[in-house]
Amino acid sequence: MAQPAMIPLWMRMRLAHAVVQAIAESAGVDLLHIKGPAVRAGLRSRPSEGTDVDVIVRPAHVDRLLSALTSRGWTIQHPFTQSSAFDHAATLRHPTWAYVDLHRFFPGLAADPVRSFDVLWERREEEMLAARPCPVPDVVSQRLILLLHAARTPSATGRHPDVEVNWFELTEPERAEVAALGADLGAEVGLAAALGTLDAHRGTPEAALWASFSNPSDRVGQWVARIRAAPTWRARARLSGRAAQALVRGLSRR
Amino acid sequence: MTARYAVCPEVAWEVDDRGPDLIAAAVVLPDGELQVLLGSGGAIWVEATSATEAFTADEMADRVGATAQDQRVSVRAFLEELTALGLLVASQ
Repeated sequence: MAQPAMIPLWMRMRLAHAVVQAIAESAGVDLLHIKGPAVRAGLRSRPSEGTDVDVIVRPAHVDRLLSALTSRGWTIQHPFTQSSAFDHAATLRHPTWAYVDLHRFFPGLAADPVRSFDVLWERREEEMLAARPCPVPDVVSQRLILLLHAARTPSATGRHPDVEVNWFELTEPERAEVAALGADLGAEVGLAAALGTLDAHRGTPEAALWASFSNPSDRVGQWVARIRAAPTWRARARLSGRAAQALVRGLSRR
Repeated sequence: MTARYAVCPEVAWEVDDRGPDLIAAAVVLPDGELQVLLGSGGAIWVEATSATEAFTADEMADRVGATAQDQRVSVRAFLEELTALGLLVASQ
């Protein structure tokens, strides 16, 4: 047998999706594979196999999956509280299978995470990854997820190319499907950020938070927007403390 | 009795035939070790995964064009190795 290091990254990623799926099944965990090779062909502006495995997990099953993965050699690299302005994902690493981003919800789907997952799960399809059937969101859900991700990902050329493919190149009925799902899942503000129509939500804390992603170097601005968008005073106080720590950490790395 | 081989249903695998050398990679789920098969080993894996029914070592040797006796012995040994790794299952 040859050394595992010899295989291309795209092969390793597809195998890693299958491994994570098998572990989820053995632990009785529902999850959906997103991004990378899980995305339906033609929905990305340029094909990408990704550099990590991204999955959305049924919220009630998150702890179970974390336990299953860590008992099989994964270690937590970044807990949920260090992932992003949304605290949405934990990153785990395995010596063979590299990184898994375990999403407990998807940023921009503002509806209750339990209900959001239920809706995505009900609409799920299957994609064969490494000869194994893996559940993935349906095409409409994938388009919505790619648009919301694009809204958080500044593009050097202005509009993110995935927005072209998953909105501007669609027919009106196709756009209506994406918009309807977005409305059902509370994704109107994130969708507006992706489409460049955030002004329609001007003055809301959520709009300010999404607007802050257009300048990723403005860490202070992102934290301010994040604190303002927090739903409760308690959450704002907690975020304020973490903001101070994070910004000090950032300064110490310079 | 002659052993018949089939790919274990609990195996995930991928094949890269884009480059000059064929590369196959496989793992027994959920937590087996990643195995990488190159060249003739990869070619045998491709044939094994495309087989519609269990096959003997001689049938596999025919499929990959292993005509010389030492080549056929090597094919048989390789199938036994894959079986020991759990990538194939053998039945009589």
